Amino acid sequence: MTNRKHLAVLTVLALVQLSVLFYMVCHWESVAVRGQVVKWIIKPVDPYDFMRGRYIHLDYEKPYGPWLDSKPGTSGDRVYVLLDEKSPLAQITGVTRQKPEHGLFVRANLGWMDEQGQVHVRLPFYRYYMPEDLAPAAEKAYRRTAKRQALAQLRIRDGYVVVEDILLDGVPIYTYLQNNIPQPPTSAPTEE
Amino acid sequence: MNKEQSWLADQLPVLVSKGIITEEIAAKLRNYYQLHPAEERSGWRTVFVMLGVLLLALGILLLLAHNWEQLKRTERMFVIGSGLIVAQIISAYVVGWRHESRFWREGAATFHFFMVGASIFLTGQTYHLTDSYDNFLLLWLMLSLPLVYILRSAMAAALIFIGVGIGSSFLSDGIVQLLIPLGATEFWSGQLLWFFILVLLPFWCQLAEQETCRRETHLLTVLLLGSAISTFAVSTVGQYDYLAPLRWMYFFSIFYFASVFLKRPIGSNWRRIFRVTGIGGALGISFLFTFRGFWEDLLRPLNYLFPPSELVITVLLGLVVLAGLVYWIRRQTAAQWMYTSLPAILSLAYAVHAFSHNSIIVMVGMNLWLLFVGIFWLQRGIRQDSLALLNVGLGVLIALISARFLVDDNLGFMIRGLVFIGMGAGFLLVNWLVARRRKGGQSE
Repeated sequence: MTNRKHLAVLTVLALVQLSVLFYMVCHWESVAVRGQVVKWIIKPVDPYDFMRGRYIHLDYEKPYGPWLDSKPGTSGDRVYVLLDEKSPLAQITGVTRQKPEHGLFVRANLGWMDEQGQVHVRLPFYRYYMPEDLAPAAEKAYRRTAKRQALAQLRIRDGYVVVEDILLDGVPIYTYLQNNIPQPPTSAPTEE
Repeated sequence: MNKEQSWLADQLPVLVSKGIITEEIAAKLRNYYQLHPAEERSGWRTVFVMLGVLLLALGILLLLAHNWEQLKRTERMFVIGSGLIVAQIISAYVVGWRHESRFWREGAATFHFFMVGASIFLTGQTYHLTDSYDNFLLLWLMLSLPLVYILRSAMAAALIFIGVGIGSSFLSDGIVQLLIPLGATEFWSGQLLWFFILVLLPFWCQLAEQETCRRETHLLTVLLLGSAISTFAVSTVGQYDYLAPLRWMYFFSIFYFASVFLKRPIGSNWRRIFRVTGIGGALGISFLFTFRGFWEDLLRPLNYLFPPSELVITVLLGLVVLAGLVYWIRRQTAAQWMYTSLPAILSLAYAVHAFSHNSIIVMVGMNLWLLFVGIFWLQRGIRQDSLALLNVGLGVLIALISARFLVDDNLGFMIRGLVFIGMGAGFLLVNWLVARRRKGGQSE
C-alpha cells in the first residue's frame, strides 16, 4: 500500500475508533441522565472486602426472585430482572429470559436456583470507582455505618444501569467523607 | 560492528545510488565484511524507543485512571477523547511523513494501541461499568488490529498476541455474549477467537520471510504459538472429554508438520521454535499416557462422552495430521519419521482402548513405544554426534524411569518388574550397539 492509501485506511480507522467512543459515551450518558432513579440496599459485606483497589464492591441485598419462564435456564444465561416500580427500594418481582416491553427491569446473568425455588442472579453493576486517596476513608466510613443503612443509587434505562451514587446514612458518599474525614491538628503547619 | 564497518555500511548505498558500484557488488561487500543492514543495527535502539513509549503510555493511563473526582463526566470524556485524537494525529504524521522509520512506526503504534484501550476502559470507569470487561477487551483488540498493517508494527502485533494469549477466556466470553442471542452455539462462537490469529498470520509471515529482523521474528513466533495454544485451550475445552488429549496431540503435531512442510515463509528462525513446541507438546501428551491413571480417567462416564462439535474438531485435526503422515512417509527418512510416530501411536492406543476398555495394555504399549523412541534418539544422537538428539533421547528415558520408579505406586510388582526389565534391556542394547560400532570403526 502506498502512503496515501495507508492514510486513507488510517482515517477510516480513526473515525471508527472515535465513533465507538462517541456511541459508548452517548449510550451510558443517556442512562445516567434519563434513567429512572432506583435505590437498592447494599448488604453489609465483610468490611475488609468492601474496598478492592480503587472501587467499592457493591453486594446487593436479595438478588433473587421467582423464575417466570416455563423452561429452566442454565447458569450464565442472559436474563432480565423485573423490579417493583412502586416500592421505594428495589425489590425483584421476577426473573425471565424474555426482554420485557415495558416496566422497570435490569439485565443480569443467571446464577443458580435455591431450595425455595428462587433464582439468584449476578447483577453486572457491582463496582463504584473512587479516587485512590479516598479509598481508605471510604472503607472506614463504611465500617462505621455497616450496621446502619447503605444504599446504591442507580439510574436504570432499558435494562442498562449506571451506579450514580452511594448513600451512607442517606448522605452521598463524597459529602459523607467530606464531613467525616478527620481534620489535621490545628498546630500542624498548613499549606496555603 | 566496529567504526570502519559502520562507515562502510553507510557508504555502500551512496556508492550504489551514484552508480560507482552495482547492487550486486554492494551485496558481496556486505557479505564479505559481515555488514548488517541499518534496520538490524538499530534493533536495540528500537527496543529502547518502544520501551520509552510503552512507559509513557502506561504513565498517561495511570494519570487518567486516578479518577479525578473534580472533573465532571463530560470533562473526563473530553480528556479521554483528546488522548485518542492525539494518538491518531501522531499515527497520521508517521504514515504520511515518517513511514520509513521503524522507531516512529513502532512508537506511534504502541502509543495508539494504549490510547484506544485507555479510552474504552476509562469510559467504563466513568460510568462504573463492571461486567463489560469481556466486551471491552474484544473492542480494544478489534479497534487496534488494523494498526499492525497500517503502521507495519511488530510491537502492535505482539501486544495483540499477548492480549489474545492472556485474555482468551475473556475474549471468548465476549464473542459468545455477542453471538448467542443471534442463535450461534457457544462452541462455534468460541471458534471465532481464531480470527485474531488468522488476521495477524500474514504479517507474521512477512516478518519471518526477512532474515534481518531476527529479534522481532523470534518474539512474534513465540507469542503466536502462545496465543494459539491459549486460543485452542479456550475454544475447545467445554469439558474434559474422551477425545481432549488426542486433540492436543494432533494440535502439537500440526506445529511440527508446519515447520517441516511449509515452503513459506522462507526464514529459518520460526521453524526451530515450531519444531521444539510441536515435539515438546507431543512428547508431553505421550508421557501422560504412560500413566495408567490417565487411561482409567478417560473411562469415567462423564469423560467418555463428548459433544458432536468436539468430535468434528478432533476428526478435522486428525485428517490434517494423517495427510502430514502420508506425505512424510513418502518424502522423508525413517529417522525423521520417529518424531511423527507419536500422534499415530496415540491414535492406535486410543482405538485399542475404545474397543477393549483395557487400560493396562495401552499403558504398557505407550511405555514401550516411548522407551523405543528414547533409545532410538539416544542412539542416533551418539551416531550423528548430535547433542540435541542425545539429550532429547536421554530426557525421555529419564522421565520414563523416574515416573515408573518414583510416581507410580499403584502398579503391581509384576508390571513394574517387566517394564524395568524392558528398560534395562534397552540400555544394554544401546550400549552394545555403540560398543560394536566403535569396535568396527577402530578395526577399519
